[in-house]
Amino acid sequence: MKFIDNMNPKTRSRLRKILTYITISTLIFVIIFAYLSNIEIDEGTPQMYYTLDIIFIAFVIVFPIVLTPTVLVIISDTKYIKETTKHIRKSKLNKHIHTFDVLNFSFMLIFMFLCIFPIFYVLAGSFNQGADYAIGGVYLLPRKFTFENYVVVLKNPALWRGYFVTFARTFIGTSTALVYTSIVAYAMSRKNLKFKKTFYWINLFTMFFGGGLVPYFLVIRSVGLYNTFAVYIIPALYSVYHMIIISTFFRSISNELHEAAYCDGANEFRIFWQIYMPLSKPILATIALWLAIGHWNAYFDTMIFTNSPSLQTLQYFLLKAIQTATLTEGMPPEMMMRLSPKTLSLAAIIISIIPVLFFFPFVRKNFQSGIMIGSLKG
Amino acid sequence: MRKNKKLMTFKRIDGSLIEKEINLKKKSWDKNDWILFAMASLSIIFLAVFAYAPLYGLILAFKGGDGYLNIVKAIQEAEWVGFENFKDFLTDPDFKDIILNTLGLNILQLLINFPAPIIFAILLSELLSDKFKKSVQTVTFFPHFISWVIFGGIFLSLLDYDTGIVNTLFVNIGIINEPIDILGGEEFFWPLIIITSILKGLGWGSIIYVAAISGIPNEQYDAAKIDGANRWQKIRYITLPSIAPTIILFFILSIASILNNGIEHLWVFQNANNITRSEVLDTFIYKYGIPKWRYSYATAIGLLKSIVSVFLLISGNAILKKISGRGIF
Repeated sequence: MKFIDNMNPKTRSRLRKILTYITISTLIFVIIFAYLSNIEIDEGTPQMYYTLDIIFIAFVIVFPIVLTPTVLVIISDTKYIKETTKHIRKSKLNKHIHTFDVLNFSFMLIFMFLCIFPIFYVLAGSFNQGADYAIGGVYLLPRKFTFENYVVVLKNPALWRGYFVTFARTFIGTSTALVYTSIVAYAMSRKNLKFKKTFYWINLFTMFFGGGLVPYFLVIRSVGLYNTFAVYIIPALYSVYHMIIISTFFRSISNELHEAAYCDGANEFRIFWQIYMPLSKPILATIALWLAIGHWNAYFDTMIFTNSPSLQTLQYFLLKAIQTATLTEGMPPEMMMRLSPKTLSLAAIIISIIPVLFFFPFVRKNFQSGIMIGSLKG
Repeated sequence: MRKNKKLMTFKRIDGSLIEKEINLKKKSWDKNDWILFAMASLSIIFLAVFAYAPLYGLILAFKGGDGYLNIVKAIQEAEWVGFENFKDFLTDPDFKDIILNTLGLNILQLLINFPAPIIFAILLSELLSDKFKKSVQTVTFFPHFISWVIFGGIFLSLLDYDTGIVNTLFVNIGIINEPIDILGGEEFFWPLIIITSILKGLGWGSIIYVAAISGIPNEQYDAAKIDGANRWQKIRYITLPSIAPTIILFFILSIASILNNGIEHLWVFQNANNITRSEVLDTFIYKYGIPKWRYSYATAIGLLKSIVSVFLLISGNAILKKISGRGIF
């Protein structure tokens, strides 16, 4: 106890974080295995149940061993924080909590639940055996546990092809569009651009008037982009809206930097590439995020501009899996008895959400600040 | 030394002198002008192909160019039919339904989905704990990051007739007596679209208003508090007027897109059973334009649509300018 109290506060708070993570994940494992060892598993053997029981008991033994130091560290850390922030905390005491605050708080909780619950629902369904799912009533936890849905979906070559195409288009499409759009944005942000007004109006006009779907489709066909991978990249190279946001940011960068580089003999392109681009990381990150989401989630261009299966994106694969029973096509009848297209498509949904889930926490911090810059100035 | 150029001497901050050629004649282009011009021209090249060529393709609306795959050929070779394509559309048996659905869905979205993020942002700003506010934002952003296919797929399974949670749990509890075919019933399609777009877009849509609200100086609220203003008065007289420019900007933009229904959204939920309430201009144009090869017909409908939206944009802007003195152009 004394040893913890005498620790360096910084190390202690770091230790607190690490220990909390470990404890929480152990707890989650305890719950998962407590659940797994008590549930009916599809085609489960006694040996499997036995192993699960042992793993569960092992985690139950480990849990208190992890929990004790965590609690000790947390107690001493909170004591320390309470003592050091006494003077700040006092001023907070005169805040009253009204009925409105309670209502507001509970509304937010409900809304958060509505946003999150569908994911858990899908997760439960995707681990449930197909024939059992068809009876209904699987909400939060699978009733008849199985990995079979995932095995079947992961064996599907179309899924992997879709994954590959989507990854490629997201990566190539985002980086090329970002560079192309910021090149134009830089030129438009310079006062000494000749014919600036003409450029501006030619760009702005297209924001409000468009040819519509069919002429656009015919143009794509006429220039030879139909049914090529480039149809995902080239028509998405440039967007007037993004150009305006980036160029507003470029304009806010102090002109003295430009003058200094100009005096040192750098030409405009070099100034753009070596000074303006590195200085605009927050806004570029935001735009890159928007572009990447757009590429990752798009499916209509696959539907319109391609017809060969090798160009199908992940989202289009999913659309077909959800709307028609493509995932159970050509299966032997005894497998069809156990599997249902519903649980298979749920497993496919989870598999395609995983990259987004992984990506989400990393970008979350960045985009809010970036959007503020873009929105307030733009 | 060439004409029109003059050697001038500048003094640097550190005291050293630097000589530089200054261009006297303004109209001649130096190297950097050309570089900038080339950089800006990239936009012209792109827009010429992907924005202005389709605009030129609108001529197809007045021609009988169904079935041509090359746009130049279609415009050159197809014969003029005048307003035949427009007439065809106006006399189409589905015409009334399509217009009703397009306008109905969009007016509902304008009435419900437009103010919702504003209210949500104000509620967020009233939350006492900043940590809780951040976690609410994180969670409610998430649906924006997943595609309509996935989001729609999740809802299709939630509302499924046999296995969905609504039809099994609610029947078991006794809220409803027998399963409802929500996905196949035409009367449920509009609410379904409104609710799903709120769930997916509310958190993300509120970002801009949250940013605007956080830009309001705290002194204003403190002053109001000293004057005895309650919470509602603070929102009414400080928050709302401060974010009004943002609201007006987005209101005009959403009026202009009143004929655009997110086709990626509708497509997931549309099926043969709810087609009478789910067919809108966008889906109709797609169905006739792409799989049925009726290019001229679909172009004509698209042209009608964009004329109406431009008209709405301009008139919406003019009305708001008269009322509030602010517009976007």
